[in-house]
Amino acid sequence: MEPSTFNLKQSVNSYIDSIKNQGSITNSDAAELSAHLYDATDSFISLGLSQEEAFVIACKRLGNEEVLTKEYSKVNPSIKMNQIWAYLIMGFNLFYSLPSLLLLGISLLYLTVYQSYNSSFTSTLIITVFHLLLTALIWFLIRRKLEISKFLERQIQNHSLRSVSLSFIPFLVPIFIKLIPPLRINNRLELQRALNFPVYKFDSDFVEFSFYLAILSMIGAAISLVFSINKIEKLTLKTFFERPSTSFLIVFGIILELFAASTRSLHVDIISVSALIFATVYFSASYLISFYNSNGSINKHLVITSLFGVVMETAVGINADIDRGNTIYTVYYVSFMLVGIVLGKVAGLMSARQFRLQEV
Amino acid sequence: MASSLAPLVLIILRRQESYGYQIIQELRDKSGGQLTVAEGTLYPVLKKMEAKGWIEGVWKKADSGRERRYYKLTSKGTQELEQQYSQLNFVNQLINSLWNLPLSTSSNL
Repeated sequence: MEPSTFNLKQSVNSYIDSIKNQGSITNSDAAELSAHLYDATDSFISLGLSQEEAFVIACKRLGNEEVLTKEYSKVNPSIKMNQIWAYLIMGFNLFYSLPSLLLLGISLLYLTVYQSYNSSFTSTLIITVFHLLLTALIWFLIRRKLEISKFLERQIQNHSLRSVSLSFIPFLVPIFIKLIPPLRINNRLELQRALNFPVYKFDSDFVEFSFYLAILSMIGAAISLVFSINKIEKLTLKTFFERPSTSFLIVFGIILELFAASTRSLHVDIISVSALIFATVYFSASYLISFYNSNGSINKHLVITSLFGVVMETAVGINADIDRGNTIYTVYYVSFMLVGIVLGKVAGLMSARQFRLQEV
Repeated sequence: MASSLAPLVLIILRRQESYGYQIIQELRDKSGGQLTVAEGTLYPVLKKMEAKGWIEGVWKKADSGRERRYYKLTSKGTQELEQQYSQLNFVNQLINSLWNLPLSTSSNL
C-alpha cells in the first residue's frame, strides 16, 4: 500500500481560497470556515475515516463556493462597495492612461519611421499598414467587449489590490519615458508635432486617409461602448442598427460625415470619382440601416442620419466653392450623396428580402 | 432555511457560549440528523446576528492550539430571543388551532 500524499493543511487552504477568490468573504470569515473544516475533519477521523475521506465529507457538508458566496455576499456589502471603487480607480487609470500611452507610442513610431525613411514609398507602406492594423485592433477589441469585461471582473474579484495597482503602470510609463534622455519629449507641443507627422510630413494621401480612419475608429469605438451599455448580447452591427435610437443616429450621422469627408484626403482629381467615393460611405450606412430595419421606419432613420451631412456639405461646400472661384463641387457631392442613400436603401431592402427568403 | 436558523442559534447560545461547528453539531443532534442546510451558511447568519448586536464573537485559542470564534448572547440578544420565542409560540398555537379545524366539504356550503 502506498503512503498517502494527502496534505490536510494544503487541502483546507486550497478549498477556502477557492471560496475567498469569489470575493465575498473577509479574512476573518475564511479563518472561521477553515477552523470549521479542521473540526469537522477531526470528528470524522475519530469515527474511523481516513484523513482524506474525512476532509471530503467535511467539505461537502460545509457547502460549495457558490452557496457560501451567495450567503456571505448578503452580510458583507462592504466587499461589493470596495469592488465598485476598484472598478472606478481602474477605469479612470485605463481610460486616462491607455490612450495617452497609445498616442505616445504612435508619435514615437512616426518619428522613428520618418527619421529612417523620410517621405517615401516605404514610410507610406509602414504607416498605412500600421493605421489599418490599429483600426482592425480597435474594432476587434470592441467585438470582444464581453470577454474583456469578464476578464476585468475576474481580476477585480480575485485580485482587487493587484489589479488596481497594475492599472497604474500605463499611467506611469509616459512619465518614465519622458525622463529617458534619448526619448525625452519635452512638452506637449513637440508631441503634437510628432502626432501630425502623417498628415504634414509623410506627404502621402494613403497615410493621411488611414490616419483619419484610425482616429474616427477610436471615436466610433468609444461611442459604441456608450450606446451598447444597455445591450446584453455580443456586439454586432445588428446590435447598433436594428431599431436604433434617435440619439445614436445623430451621433452616427456626425461620425459618418467626418469619415465621408475624410475620403477627400485621397485627393482624387476627377470630381465625379471623388464624389463617388464620398457617396459610397453614405451608401454603406444607408444599406445597413435599411437592411436591419426593413420592417421599420427606414426613411425617418435615414433622414436623421444624413441630416448633419447634408447641412455640412451644403453650407461648407458652397463656401469652399466660392473660395475656389465658383466651382460646383457641392452639387456633385450632395447629389451623389443623396443618390447613394437612395441606392443604399434599395440594396439594403433587397438583401433583407433575400435574407428572409433564405431563412424560410 | 438559513434565516430560520437565527432563533435556534439564540436558544443554543442562551445556555452557554459556543462556536460555529459546535452549534451546527447541536442542531444536527437535536434535529435527529434532519438538518439539511449547508453547514457553512450558519456563519453568515452568525455574522448578521452579530451586526444586529444580538450576539458577540471573540477569537479564542483552544487547548489544541487551534483558534475558534466563540459567540455569546448579549442582553439585546436575550430580549430578541424572548420576543421571537413568544412570537413563534403564538404562530405555533395559531397553526395548531387552524390545523385542527374540521375540513369543509361542499355539503357544508
